[in-house]
Amino acid sequence: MRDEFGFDDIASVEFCVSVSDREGTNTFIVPSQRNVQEALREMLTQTVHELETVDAAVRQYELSEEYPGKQSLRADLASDEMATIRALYEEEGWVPNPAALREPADISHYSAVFRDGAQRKLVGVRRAAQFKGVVKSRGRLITLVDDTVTVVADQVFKLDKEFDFIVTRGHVYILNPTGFAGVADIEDLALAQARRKAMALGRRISFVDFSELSNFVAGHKRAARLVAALSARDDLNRVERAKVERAAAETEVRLEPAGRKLRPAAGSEIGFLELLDDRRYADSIRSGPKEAYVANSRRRVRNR
Amino acid sequence: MVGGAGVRAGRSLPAARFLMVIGSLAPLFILWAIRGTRDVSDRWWITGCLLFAAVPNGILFLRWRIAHINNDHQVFIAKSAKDQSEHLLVYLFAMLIPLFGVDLGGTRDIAAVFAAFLFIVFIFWHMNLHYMNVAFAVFGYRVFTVEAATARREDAPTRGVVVLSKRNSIAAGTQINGIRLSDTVFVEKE
Repeated sequence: MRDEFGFDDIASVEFCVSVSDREGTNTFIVPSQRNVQEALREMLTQTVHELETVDAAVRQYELSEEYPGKQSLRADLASDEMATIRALYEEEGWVPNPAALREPADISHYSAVFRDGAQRKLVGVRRAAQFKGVVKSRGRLITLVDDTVTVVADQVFKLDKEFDFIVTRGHVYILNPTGFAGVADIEDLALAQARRKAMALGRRISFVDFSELSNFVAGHKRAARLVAALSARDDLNRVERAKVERAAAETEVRLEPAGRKLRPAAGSEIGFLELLDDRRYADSIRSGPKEAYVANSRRRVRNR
Repeated sequence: MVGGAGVRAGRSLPAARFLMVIGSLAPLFILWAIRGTRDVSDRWWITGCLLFAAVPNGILFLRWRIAHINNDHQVFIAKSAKDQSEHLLVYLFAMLIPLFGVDLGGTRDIAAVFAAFLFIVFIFWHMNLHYMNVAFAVFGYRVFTVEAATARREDAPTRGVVVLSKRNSIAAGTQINGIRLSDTVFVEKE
């Protein structure tokens, strides 16, 4: 991350808001004073600090993973699922519109565009939930004037402590996966490509028939995310048929023959994809019948 | 996305743009002040003309200074740029000289010229031609109309802005950091 942008050499800061309404989403630049630009720099500093300290190392973002709280994750900006974020990063030359802040309920997210002395660009993005919340509480905020407090008469926009994610030319660094998912349209993008990606999986795992599964995943968000996560894996060539059959039996995933291949039976599609993505496993350290578990959130013990 | 944004985005700083248009007509006021008129005493006529020349330009430079202090800026990536300094010549010949040539002898002549003047101000204000100011040239700035990229894609639409710069030319792909005088006019930071 540090080699992708000059954090100590920021030449300009632009403040943008994205407004969503019936006509779609438009991003405007909001002219801002130096103190706002300084606050946005502090948000960036805090975001980078948290990304570097919340975890021992930055991990790869997986679409099939459910991430609680703050994380330190990285995704490749060039991947199919990052199309919305890529478009957001590539935006330039926004129309100035100070009035964009007048309808806070329509603001979907706000962003700061930083450029360093080498003309490299970094975008920090934050979903506008808290932003909107403070605006809605207009008339109830108080501020210290001299040694007394008074109600803030005008609309107040409160910037957050850190961005949900930052985008460089090559990567997306995610601190708040929930906020990131809210901006990135991940599920819609995954759904749109699920059928094609499922068919492509069939060429990488040759003993599985993905033709019926590809129809299923095209209409199921969780399945589409699992397919996208599987497509990004580089270890599918090591999946063995006998081990899959044994693990399926242990974790209550029903398989059925499809010619010389296998396919999940109706009702076992999600379970089968979870099995391939190392999210479905059976207890193996206790005596007696094995218990099957699903791991919506899991972490590799040690990176190889 | 910037497409469609113009529908919602207001043209901000309308008063500043209006005064910048009047400020751009400063040479005409100076010429009128020198020339004088029969129906208005020199004391009032010259004072009025000089105020019309000085006050709007003073406000323009105040706006410039405030934008500079606030670092009210925007960065553009030029897809193409054209030196429009010759617009000043067109402006001088097409507007200043005809208006200067009008007889200001009587009250009705002055009223007619004033009406024509208001039409011109409105058209300049409406068409965002407030950058037509000889003062910029005096300070060494060239006027460029820049087609700025709205995204880092070849097929992305562009947004037209005016950049006042001391460069001799602006090559395609140049990144320009401009102080915002208005929504469409920027002075490149040095």
